[in-house]
Amino acid sequence: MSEQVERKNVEKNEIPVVTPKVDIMETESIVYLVAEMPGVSEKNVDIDLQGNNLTIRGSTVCEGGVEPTRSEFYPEKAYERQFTLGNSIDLANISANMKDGVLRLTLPKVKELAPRKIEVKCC
Amino acid sequence: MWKTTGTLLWDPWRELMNAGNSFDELLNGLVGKRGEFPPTNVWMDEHKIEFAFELPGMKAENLEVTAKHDTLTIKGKREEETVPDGAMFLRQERGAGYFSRSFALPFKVDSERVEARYMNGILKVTLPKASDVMPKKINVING
Repeated sequence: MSEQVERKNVEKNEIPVVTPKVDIMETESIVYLVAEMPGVSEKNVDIDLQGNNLTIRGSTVCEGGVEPTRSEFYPEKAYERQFTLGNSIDLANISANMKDGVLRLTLPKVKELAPRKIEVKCC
Repeated sequence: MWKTTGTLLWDPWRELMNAGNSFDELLNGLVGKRGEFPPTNVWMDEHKIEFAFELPGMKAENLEVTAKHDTLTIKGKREEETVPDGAMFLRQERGAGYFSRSFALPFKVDSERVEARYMNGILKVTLPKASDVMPKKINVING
């Protein structure tokens, strides 16, 4: 799959926004989402959940000057991608981990209530 | 139909074909050429040449960087994502497998002083110019 590059309106300070590549895997109980965002440290990742819409964002811009591995010639970029989660995701228990430019999200599914027998009491 | 420009014959069809190739190259530059991994940025000044390779999720033992006097080669292996038991892929965009890419260097480099640093998924390789090709300041003596 190719990256999509969106150039924002022609302003010098705007940095290009790129769609990160993702792998999505699903088991019976969990959905795993792995996104590639090279150049992004864990401090510069933003995971936003609004209802069922999950947006992951990352930025290579680092505040406070130049990082040791960056040089002034390395172009900054931002990553963004949005996903609509199904109703089976337990939104309160999503966890995330960021390492070496790879963001891993673990999205557990809502546990189905086991079928219960309802007793009918008489008077 | 044929027009001479200087000593060359002007071929309108060749120009059209070249325009098509330039356009392809332009698009590929934006999107990323297939089969050329990892995506690389290169820049240089009068003292050194630097490469930045986008290599998220790599292990250092799976990367090999070799610098000879006129060539930089980067080789490695991207591990396949460990799929949890019973998991199904809903989407698979990330790649895996072996890769190898070489770059011709525009000047001789000092192989002993090459530095490679991997951080946040980007491998940066800095190759200083060999001292015998560094610009040398020449003092001008009067008289």
